[in-house]
Amino acid sequence: MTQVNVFTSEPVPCHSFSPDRSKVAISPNNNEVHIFKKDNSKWLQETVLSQHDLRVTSIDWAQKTNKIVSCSADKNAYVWSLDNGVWKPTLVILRIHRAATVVRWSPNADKFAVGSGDRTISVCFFEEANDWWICKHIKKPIKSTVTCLDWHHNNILLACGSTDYRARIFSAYVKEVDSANPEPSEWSSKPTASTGNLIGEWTTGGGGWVHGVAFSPDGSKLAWVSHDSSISVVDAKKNQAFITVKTPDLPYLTLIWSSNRFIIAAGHDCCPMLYKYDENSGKLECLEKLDKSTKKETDGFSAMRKFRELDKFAISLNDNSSSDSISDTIHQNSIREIRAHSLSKSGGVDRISTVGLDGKMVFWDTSRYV
Amino acid sequence: MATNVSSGFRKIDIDSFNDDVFKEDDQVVSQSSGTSLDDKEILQLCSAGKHYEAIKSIFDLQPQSSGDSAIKELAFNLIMQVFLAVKTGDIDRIVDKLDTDQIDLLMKYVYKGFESPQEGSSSNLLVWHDKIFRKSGHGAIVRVLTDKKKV
Repeated sequence: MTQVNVFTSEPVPCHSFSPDRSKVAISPNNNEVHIFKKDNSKWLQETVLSQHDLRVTSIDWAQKTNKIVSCSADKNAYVWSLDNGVWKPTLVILRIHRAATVVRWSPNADKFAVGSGDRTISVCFFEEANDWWICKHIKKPIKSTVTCLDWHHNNILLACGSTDYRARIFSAYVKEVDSANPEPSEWSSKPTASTGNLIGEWTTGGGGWVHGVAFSPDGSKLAWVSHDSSISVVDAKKNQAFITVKTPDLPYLTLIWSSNRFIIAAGHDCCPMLYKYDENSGKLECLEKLDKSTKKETDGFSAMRKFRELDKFAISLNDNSSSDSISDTIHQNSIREIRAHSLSKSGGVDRISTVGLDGKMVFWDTSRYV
Repeated sequence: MATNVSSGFRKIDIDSFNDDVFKEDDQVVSQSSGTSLDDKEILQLCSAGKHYEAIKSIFDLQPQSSGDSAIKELAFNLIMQVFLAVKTGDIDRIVDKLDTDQIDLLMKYVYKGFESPQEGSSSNLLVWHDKIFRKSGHGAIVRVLTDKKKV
């Protein structure tokens, strides 16, 4: 079953759930982070975290430590920790000169990575001696803004996508945090014990900003979506061979593996699409739309809807095309981020959530695709 | 209040002060194919009604990857002649035979044709655009916009 939640009429570019899933942190496209708490079937606003000066671009809630990290166009990141029921911010010095675009905690939550428009990834970790978060930079060979990040489950490899049309895997090893001899991964036989070591680099060949990257749950495959409406998978077990599917849809912005075989991608088409990657044949194909709605959505009375549309889409009263501005899909505007909501016993994702520019958060049941 | 603040600073290209500034052209690898187009052969194919073969033999030379602007120009002119020569009823048959990459390339030529219209060409190109769109959806249009390998 899909379940629709509406927080705001503003776009929601990013969201993240608390470890017990009772709360969600979203950014209503401004300088604030809003935390909502689930009360029966409703989401009630609990706290507003306002420390940033400019628009918050990404939020991540650490599942192991219950800390929130947020980053913003004001070039700063804050780590928020709960202290006697109050969220306390700690400023992180990222040493960047452009907006921070994306932030992700590593699986062990002992470090996090921030991508930025400064062609840099800052890998941040906590230094006990100074009681301070400090960072190391990954710079080469990134030539443009970093748009997306995803951690490998081994806590060391980091995938990133950039507007120089490339998806890359780096070693985000930090000697202060990680063990002295990290185990070799399926991606590299060379030792990965140095920060910023480039493990691999791929491009679809055309142009097209990379909007989303994601490691499969077993870590042996990396998928990415880019603005040439393509979705690609590179398989470490197949000598890092990669396959690209050029789709007939509008570009995807975000993606997630629901298991080692299935990928869900969503973006400007407002509808999550299911892709299947066959490990044996190395084939990638589109299976179906997750959004099965066919008839026009009717939320509320028609008059009320009409006035709400007037408000939302700035259309005039005698504009006859107003009914056409409602799309057949549940999301009424681009989907910006997919998150795993609940995991199955096998490690797959049972339920995902999507947020978009229409201000909705939608839960989708993906237990059939595990 | 902040209403009087000049917006002139937005027009300063701060990236030019950077030594390793991102250059779009560096991202595209162009190669000379070595072979040149045989325009007579293609026009022969065209007049013999073998339009698909004509398009395919142009595409086989990968004009979009060529660094030579003369080849690109020649390929474009030939494709335009093929576009105008095909009867409306035959377009579907040709489009169906092409694979995704070739369809994308064909769409690029349709848009390039819109750039420099000739007498009666645009109405013809609109029919091609319609048929290609039906087969390949929005994806082909998006790829025309994003691809740096210009035709």
